[in-house]
Amino acid sequence: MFFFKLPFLNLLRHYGRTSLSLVSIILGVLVIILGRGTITGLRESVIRGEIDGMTGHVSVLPADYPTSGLLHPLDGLYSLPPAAEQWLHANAVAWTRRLFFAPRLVSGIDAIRVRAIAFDPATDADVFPRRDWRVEGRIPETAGDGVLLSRGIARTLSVQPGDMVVLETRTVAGAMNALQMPVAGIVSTGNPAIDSIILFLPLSAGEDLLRTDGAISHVSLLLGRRTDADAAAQQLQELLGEAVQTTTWEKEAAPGLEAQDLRQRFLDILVVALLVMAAAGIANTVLMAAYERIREVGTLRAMGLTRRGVAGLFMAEGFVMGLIGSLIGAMLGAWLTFKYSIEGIDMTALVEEMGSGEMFQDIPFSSMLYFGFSGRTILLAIAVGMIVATISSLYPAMIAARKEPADAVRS
Amino acid sequence: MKICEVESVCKIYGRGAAEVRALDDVSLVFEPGEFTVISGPSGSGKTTLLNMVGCLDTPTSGRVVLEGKDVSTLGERALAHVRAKRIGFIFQSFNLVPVLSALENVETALHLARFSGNRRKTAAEMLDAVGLRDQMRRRPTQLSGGQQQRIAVARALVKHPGLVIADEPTANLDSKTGTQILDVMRQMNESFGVTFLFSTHDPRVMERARRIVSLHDGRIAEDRTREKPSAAGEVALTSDASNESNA
Repeated sequence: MFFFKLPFLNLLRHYGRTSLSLVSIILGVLVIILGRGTITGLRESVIRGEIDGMTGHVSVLPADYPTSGLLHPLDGLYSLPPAAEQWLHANAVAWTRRLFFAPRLVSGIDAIRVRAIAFDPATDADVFPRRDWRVEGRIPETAGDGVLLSRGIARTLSVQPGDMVVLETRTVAGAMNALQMPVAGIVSTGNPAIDSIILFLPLSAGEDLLRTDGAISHVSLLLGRRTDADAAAQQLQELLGEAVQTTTWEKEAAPGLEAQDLRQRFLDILVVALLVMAAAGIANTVLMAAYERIREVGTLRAMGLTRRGVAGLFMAEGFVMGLIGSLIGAMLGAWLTFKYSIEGIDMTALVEEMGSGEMFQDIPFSSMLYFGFSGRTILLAIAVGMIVATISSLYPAMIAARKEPADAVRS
Repeated sequence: MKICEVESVCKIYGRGAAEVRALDDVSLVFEPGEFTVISGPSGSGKTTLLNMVGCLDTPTSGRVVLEGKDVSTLGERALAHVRAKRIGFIFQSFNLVPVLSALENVETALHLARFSGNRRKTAAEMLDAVGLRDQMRRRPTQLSGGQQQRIAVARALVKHPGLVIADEPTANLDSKTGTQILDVMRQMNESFGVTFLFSTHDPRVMERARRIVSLHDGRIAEDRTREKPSAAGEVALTSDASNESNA
């Protein structure tokens, strides 16, 4: 009763003052949970953007293939040997072929250089899910269906589904070639790396335009677990030889994840600053309580409470404050994080506002931000809140405990 | 066994020119069941003596023996243990914990004394004994000064200490209430055989005391024992030679 009820009741003596200290703990805990939830969500968004939009878990591409800018050389295109296909059938959950190239897209008198992805309509969606895609028109299934333009290209060229566009490029042999095709649809994927300058067309149309004779630039695959990507990449590399290179989602997402790590460090600084403020608030609250209750402390000492017992009483007040504040903060944080881990926050407008075309064309991520809900983070935040609150009441507790009972009792 | 023996106790505060001898070679013996008043003007050493006997402070020299045990050399934890088990305190300003009910205030003393029985029941019985059966759930601020001091009396006595130290217990009470509180304490003294040691200027307390020890400048000026104390103040004082030796 004594060591649990008394600190709790003491905190209610000045509930305004206690509430202010509680708010600082609640904020600290809330920022830890929401901040980590956001950073985890952003990390996952970058990873998901890479896996779902560009690489899958593992991609095979020509050796020395450029990985940034609008450079898609055709001199290293390859065909999969039967042994590799066999390996893919045996080890991948899904796999697909893609042919990347960089044609000029002409609409009337306007023309822009774009990144074209010729995809296998039968298998592409198995590796690159289209759950966040919003398509105006339809996704082309055959060469005659035409092309699917990203929203960025459609906006730049002011084209609509049904309009005719021309793709101009050199063939594998170096000859100029052009293909007039209808716009089958316009897609918004939520991934700025796709929505800015990419168009999709069926693989057969791409092969026809580039005269590749079945050669492709990319094979992408999904595994049972994304953590197996390195091992799978190594096996494929050994199977396919030095003419190709393998890459994994982890390698490709690294630049984007580095930015998230920087954000994490800024968040950590913010959290430390908030916790220091909370600690100062609690120390002040408990210190004022210690000075106000000197006579009461003296009485308890006269009744047999030891110095350690007095210190324990005041630290218990900090602990109780930390417990209540942390639990409230954790409940709020858990609710918000869980809500946004399910509903997500649509950052499309924000990405567009920031100029997605220039900034993010090489960093794929999903513009739907789903917070990372983690029980471990919530427990960590509660523990941090309680520890900070308890430790910050240590100094006031020592002040109270140091007072001699004979003096304190008559103060 | 004597309840408390104070042997040649000196207490000195400060050093050099600032040195103050609060107690100067004081020797006293308190028997079980005494109802004794320590009197004297301000600065005479009353409070210092009570602090020594109450294990709130230790002497600069000399010994304080409580129930046969020398407490003058004990450390902080051991002194706290002695206070928790064997000494009850009653203060001028009641010194109750305002956020606890009357019952919880009394229970606190049992908690600190590590009382192993039913604390709630024992505390309630003691509050009943001091006439607060109907106010047990109330907090001190909801009670009168007299009722608060009754709680303090119950809190001091509930652990059945050998010694109760009362520092000006009637100073903050009106005449009628003060008299009632003294009657309660006298009754408890007789019922439980607990030794009461008062520091007071209140003549009503002195009237009820069996023994009056007067201090002056840290020394015993007088140590009188009555044959038969009475509420009316009819006294028959005798001098206790053994206790006057330091006067």
